[in-house]
Parts: sequence; structure tokens; C-alpha cells
Amino acid sequence: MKNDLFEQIKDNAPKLLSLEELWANRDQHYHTFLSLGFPNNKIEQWRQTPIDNVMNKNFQYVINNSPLQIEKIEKYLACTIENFEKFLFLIHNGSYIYSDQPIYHDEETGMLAGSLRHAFVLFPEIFNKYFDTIADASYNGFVALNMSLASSGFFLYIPAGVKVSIPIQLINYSDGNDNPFMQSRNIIIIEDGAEVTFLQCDDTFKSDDNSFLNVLTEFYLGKNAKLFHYKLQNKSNHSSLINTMFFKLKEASLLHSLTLTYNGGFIRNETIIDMDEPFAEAKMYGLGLIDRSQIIENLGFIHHNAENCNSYQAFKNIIDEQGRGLFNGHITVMPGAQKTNAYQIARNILLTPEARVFVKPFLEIYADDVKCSHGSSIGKLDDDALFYLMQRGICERNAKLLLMYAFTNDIVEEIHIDDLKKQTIGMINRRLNGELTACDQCVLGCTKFEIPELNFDNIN
Amino acid sequence: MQDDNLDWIKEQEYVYGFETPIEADVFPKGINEDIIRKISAIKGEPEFMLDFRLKAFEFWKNMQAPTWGHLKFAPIDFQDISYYAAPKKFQKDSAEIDPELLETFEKLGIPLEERNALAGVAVDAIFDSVSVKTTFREELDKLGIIFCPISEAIKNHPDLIQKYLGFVVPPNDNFYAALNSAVFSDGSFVYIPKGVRCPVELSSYFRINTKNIGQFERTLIIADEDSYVSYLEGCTAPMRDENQLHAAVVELIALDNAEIKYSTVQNWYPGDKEGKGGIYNLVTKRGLCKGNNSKISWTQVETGSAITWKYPSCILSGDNSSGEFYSVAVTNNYQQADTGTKMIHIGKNTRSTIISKGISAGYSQNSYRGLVKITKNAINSRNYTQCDSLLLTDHCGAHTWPYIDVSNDDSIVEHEATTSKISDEQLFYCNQRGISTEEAIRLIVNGYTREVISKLPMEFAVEAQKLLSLSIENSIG
Repeated sequence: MKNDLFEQIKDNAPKLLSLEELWANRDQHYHTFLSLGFPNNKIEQWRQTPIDNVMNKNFQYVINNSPLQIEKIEKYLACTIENFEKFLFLIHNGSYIYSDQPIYHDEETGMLAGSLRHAFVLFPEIFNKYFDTIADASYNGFVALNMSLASSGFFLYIPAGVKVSIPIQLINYSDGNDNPFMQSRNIIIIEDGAEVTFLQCDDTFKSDDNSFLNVLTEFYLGKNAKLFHYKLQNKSNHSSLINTMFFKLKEASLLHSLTLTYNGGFIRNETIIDMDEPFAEAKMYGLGLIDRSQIIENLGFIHHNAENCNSYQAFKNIIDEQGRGLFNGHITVMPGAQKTNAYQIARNILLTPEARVFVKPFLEIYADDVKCSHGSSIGKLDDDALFYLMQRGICERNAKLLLMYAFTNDIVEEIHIDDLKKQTIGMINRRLNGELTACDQCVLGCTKFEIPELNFDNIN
Repeated sequence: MQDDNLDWIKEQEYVYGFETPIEADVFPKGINEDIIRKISAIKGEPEFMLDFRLKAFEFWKNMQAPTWGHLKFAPIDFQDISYYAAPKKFQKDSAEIDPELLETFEKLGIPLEERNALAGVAVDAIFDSVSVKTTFREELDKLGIIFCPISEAIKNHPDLIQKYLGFVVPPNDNFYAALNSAVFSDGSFVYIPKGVRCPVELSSYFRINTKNIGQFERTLIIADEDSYVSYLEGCTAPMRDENQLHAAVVELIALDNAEIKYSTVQNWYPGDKEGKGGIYNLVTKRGLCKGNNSKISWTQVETGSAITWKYPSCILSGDNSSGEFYSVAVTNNYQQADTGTKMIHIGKNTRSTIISKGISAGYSQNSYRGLVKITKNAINSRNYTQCDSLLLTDHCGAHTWPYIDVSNDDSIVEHEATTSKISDEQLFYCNQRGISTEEAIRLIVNGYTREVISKLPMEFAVEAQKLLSLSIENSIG
């Protein structure tokens, strides 16, 4: 029960807050959490979210999520993209996992990647400059709770001018039997002129995982920095994930963010982007394949605080069975942020009468020299297109599949990593074919992914 | 550069801002049960109306004023308002109207003398809290159409009132609707019998004259099976430094195959250039397409009011019913408008169209807020929404808050919105062809709003055009 979780947190908080070797301001954030509490349906941003149902489980607050050293991390590596060269980092149930060193330090480039808690001790100068400066505890109860009590996570620092050619992958695993409530916190710092590709994966080990994960990530993009950010989400149908990301974009920086959601009981991705300096650009893409009684929510709040910034949001969902999707885009153009271009599109296909979708594409504009628009469509597959295909001898099933691939294609095209793109196409193929239900506990577990091939054997 | 040429829209005078020096019977300020009993008594209402009012008042006492609108205004002191005012010389039963009143409406361009009436418009004129004159009564009576002040309808047609008053907007619907239900004094009542196509446009004209009063009118329109009616509404108020409250409730009910077309040109006093004074226009308007194949269409041109909080909505509960919403909202100086619509699709094969055009100038804030809800049983429903905003200065705001909620797979909902200023290319194109910048802006604004203006009935399109052309005159002078 929600109140019980609240009580558990209250009971454990004094002990957790008294930990000396952790960052400052946690007391203050904890008070913010106490005053905010967990979000409920009375709050505008949560009105369409069945948060009371999601929270209405007997959650156990996991007190200890300190970094963990283990001998072999091989068992975590079952689910990776084949032939894909990367730096791999792991978080398991909120604790940072490592085998030899807590922080990987690349001598040549000065890149730092590893445990957040170790970074706080070992690299205080870098850490304190950025940490806690991007996220806003008053944003909601989950953010405040994370900022006050989360004690482990991932730290990434790319020094100025460094272009990291190998993608960095962080896999966030969870598995729990007795409704554990866990938190982790990450910070990604990309200094002026640096460039990196970062994959953030949310995954579960087993299909009956019923954990609740509350993840907070702060991103800093310096002047001319570039971040290619991918989120791959494939969790169990019983798990819950709140994933809040705060971005600060400096002059002429570029954010390219793409979220792929294959599966998950309750997933809420909330992205807050502050474009503080001119010529910054943010592109956000999202694709959700929602079925059974899954609830997938994507929220993007883009604040144009400076002039000449561009933003682009494109989110698509295919919703099957009793699935439920939500998109809430919110573009704010502040006074003086002239020459802003902002665009939003949300498209949804519903496949069953039980499927449901909410779309809230908001524009809030206080400057006149802007071009802002949004478009949204919700509906079924186009009857005319179906007819066209069937007229040419393609059976209904395949025609529908084709149209669904086509629907997902413009998002998939935005994946710049070839291996990932190939795998994603394979995943979508299998998923739409209904073949993936057996191994939904693992996104990347499909070591034998195939190039999509339409299955024409059952032409009727 | 563009700003200098916008004088015509920024400096426009409010020509309806005069006050009629007419004595009025005004109730003391404040709201309580006694006041409600007094209103009910003065109107000679039957018992059920008093109960309705008192119940609404009970609801209202336990409600909070909504704060979700994108509007900033000081909380209203509801005890500092007088809830009833009637011209003193006006006597209900006399056929003669005070010449002063007549002159006022003449000045406003509202003909109360039937011989002067524009062909084909029947008018119900409402001055402060009472209806002063309804024209064309006899002709309408012949067809069985009831068009009268609602206070009369309560006495003469209690069965219809009991059945339908509060049917679409129940007294506990929202804060302002509850307040209206408790204290409403007059308004129009329309009943179109089965199979009748109302031959004239019905119209009501609202005028707030007396200081410190709130106007709470209530309109109820019932279109019985296979009938049609087109209804127009206009409003003005004198210029004053204080804000005045206008909290109306409008209910429309369309039965099988009936069609109601409701048009508004709202031109309440918007306040002065510094944002002082003006009307708070906090209105609940809702139509129910109860019958199959019924249709309700809202068209509004919103140019006045300091605060506009208004969402003319359609509940499409009959199969194959359709709802339409066409809106132009112009705000300037320090006006704030939060307006839009709700389309609730409940019946099968229901259709709705939303076209909303916002124009903001000065330091104003203009929001579109709308909900399109397709319920599970509303299969094969269709909605198309387009909301565009035009920004004329760099101090104003234009916002779009659409909500879309779809619960079945057999419906199609489309939504488009754009926000921009008049582009330099467009202006250049016009300039190049010898059209002055000022003229060009006017031209572009005209073209931008045409889609909505063209939906207005002739008489109102003329008035709406007049509103624009008036502004244009000022700019040239």
C-alpha cells in the first residue's frame, strides 16, 4: 500500500540521510518529498495515469543499494546486442555492479565512467560542479525522493573536445519477487565540444519481476556537445518504472534521443529539457509497442529559454489488446526566445476496442517570432491502404503487418547504430508477428535476431 | 517594425461603452438564502424553482472556484456583487418600453421595434437582470415555437422547465454553473416543436448597465424531433474601472434529427489599455445531441471581456449525431482568454469538427483548451481539430492545451495546431503589390478568420465584419 511505503520511507530516512559519505542537500530534498508526497490523480500531469493502482501493491522499500563488487559479470552479459562493440556498465536492482574497478578511467581521453558514489569520493571537483544542478526536486515526489535517498548509480564524464567513438551502454536490470521499491540515480556530463553515444537499457531478468524502479538521470551538454541517446525498454508485465530525465543544453549543443519501448507493466518516461543558450537543438523520438494491460507513458517538456533553438518530438505507439498509451508533449517558448522552431507529432494506432490512448500536445508560447506546430492522429490502420495491398494479392494479415512496419519505420530510421537498427527491425518484426511473448523478459536476449522477412506462407 | 502598424488593433475604441442613465432597482450586495428567496419571489416562481435554486446554492457553498485555466485574476468577492437589477420604470405587463431603454438598444443596433427589425430576426433583449422585450412573438406562436424570457417560461411551461432545466448542465456541474443556478434572473427560452423549421433567426442581446451587478443569465433551447433553429447571441457593457461578473449558463438539447445552430458575437467591455476594468466572462455552455442524427453547431467570435473562461461543448450521445465548434478569439491589451470546447463522443458514428483561430496582440494571453473524448461504444467516430494561433506582438502569449482521449480502435481523431506570427514574406508579397503593411495585416487577418466568420448567419457576419472594419477606421485616422 502506498501509505505503507510512505511509512517505510519515513522510518528509514533518518538512517539513510545520516550517511556521511554521501552528497549534500539530501535533507532539504527529503523535506521537499515529505511536502509533495507521491503524485496522485489530482495533479494535472498525473490525471490520466492510474498511479494509485500502480502504487497499490505491498511495496518493500529497499534500503541498501550501495555499489556492489562481484567476481563475474558474465551472467549479466547474456542480453547484449550481437557483434556490438561497446563499453558496458551495469546496474542491478538499483546498485551499481562492477568486477574489477568501480570507475573506468580512460587515460588517453580522460573519460570517466562508473559508479556514481565512487565518483563523488574520487572526483569531487567534477562531481560537485554538475551534480544536483540540473534536476529539480520540486518537480514531483518521485524526483524529490530520488534526490534525497538514492545512493547509487552511474556516472559518466566526457572531457571537452573528446569524441568517444565506441557507444557506452548502461543496462539497468531489475528482478524482484516481493515488490521491491528501488531507486538509482545517474549523471551524464558531456563537456564543450565532446560527443558520445549512450544507450540506456531497462531490462528484467525474469518474467515475473514485480519491482518498482524510480530512476533519475541528469544530463549536461556543454557548448557544441553532441549526445546520441538511446533508451531501450523491455521489462516484465508486472514491473513498474518511473524514469525521469533532466537535460541542460548549452549553446549549439545537440541532443538526439530515441526511446524504444517493447514491453513493460508500467513505464513512465518523463523528459525535461532546458535549452538555456542559443542554437541548441533537441530531437526526441519514441516508439512504443504496447499490448496486454501494459501502460506506457512518454512525457516531453521542452523549455525554449533562449533564441534560435530548435526542437522536434515524434512519438508513435501501436496499441494492442488492453494496452494504454499516453503522450504529453509540452513546448514552452519563454519571452525573448525568438526564432524558435518547435514541432511535435504524436501518432497512435489502436488495434483492439479495449486499447486506449491519451494525447496531450501542449504549446505555451510567449514570443512572437516563432514557428510552432503540433499534429496528432489516432486511429486504426488506413482502410484504403489495406485495400490497396490486398487488391494486389497480399493477405490481410501481411498487409496489416506491412502497414505497421511502415508506421514504425520513420522512427527506426533515426537509429544511427547499424547493429542496433538491425536488431530493432528484427525485434519489431517478431513482436508484431506475435512471436516474442515467450521471451519478453529480455530485450537483448534474442541473440539470433533476423533481418525482417515478411512471412508469406499463409496467404489465404 | 511590425508593431508600429498594429495601432488599428491595439488602439481600437470600445464604441458600446456608454451608460444609460436609467434608474434601476438593485438588490443589496451579497449572496445568501434570503437573496435567492427574494429573486425567486420577485419573479413569482413556483416552488420547484426555489428548491432548484436553494439546492444549487448548497452545492456552490461547498465548491471552490476553478484555477486550472491559464488566467490570472484576483479572486472574486462574491459578497461584493449585487445579484439583481431591473430598470425601475420597466413594468412587466405593460406593452410600452421606456423610451430610454429603446434608445439604448437602438444605439447598440438592436431593433426592438418590429417594423425596424432586420428581416427574419426575432430578438429577446436582456437589460441587466430582466428581459425587456421579445419581438416577433405572435408569428412564432402560430408555428408553436415558444420564444420567451425564461422567467416567463418557468411560469407558463413548468413541465418543460422541470424536465430540461439543469439536464445538460446540472447545478453541481461546476462552481460558476452552481452560482448561476442559484441566482439566475433571466435569459431566453426556446422550444421548437416537432417537425418545425424555425423560419427566422432567434436572437438575444445581453446588456449590463448597472454598476456592481453581476449578470447571470440562463438560456435553454430545446429542439424537438426533426426541427431546426438558428440562435444568435450578442453582448455589450458600459466602460467602467471595476470588473464586472458575467456567469451565464446555456443549455441546448437536440432530439432526433434536430439541429441547433448557436452563434455568439461576444463584445463585452474588455477593459482599458492598462488592463483596468472589463467583464469577467465565466460561462458554461453545453449542448446535448440526445437524439439520433441530431446536430449542434457552436460558432463564436470573442473580442471582448477582460477574462474569458468559456468552453461551448457537445455531448454526442445520439447515434450519427454531430457537433461543430468554430471560434475566433481576439485578445489584446491585457485581455486573457481561455476558451475552447469539449466533444464527448458517446453514440455510434458520431462526428465532430473543431476549428479554432486565436489572435493575440498587446500583452494579452490567448489559450485554446479542448477535449476530444471518444468513449468505448462510440465506434466509427470521427474528429478533426485544427487550432491556429497568430501572434501580433512579442509581449503576448498564445497557448494550446488539447486533450485527446480515445478508447476504441474504430475511430479516427486528427489534431493539428500551429502558432506563428504573420511572416515577413507574406507582408513583403503584399507590399510588393502596392498594398500597405497595415492593409496587408488586415487582409491576412481577414483571410485567417474567414473560415469561422463564414459560418456565422448573415446578420452576425455583418456585425463581426463591422467589429473589424471599425478597428480599421481607427487606425487610418
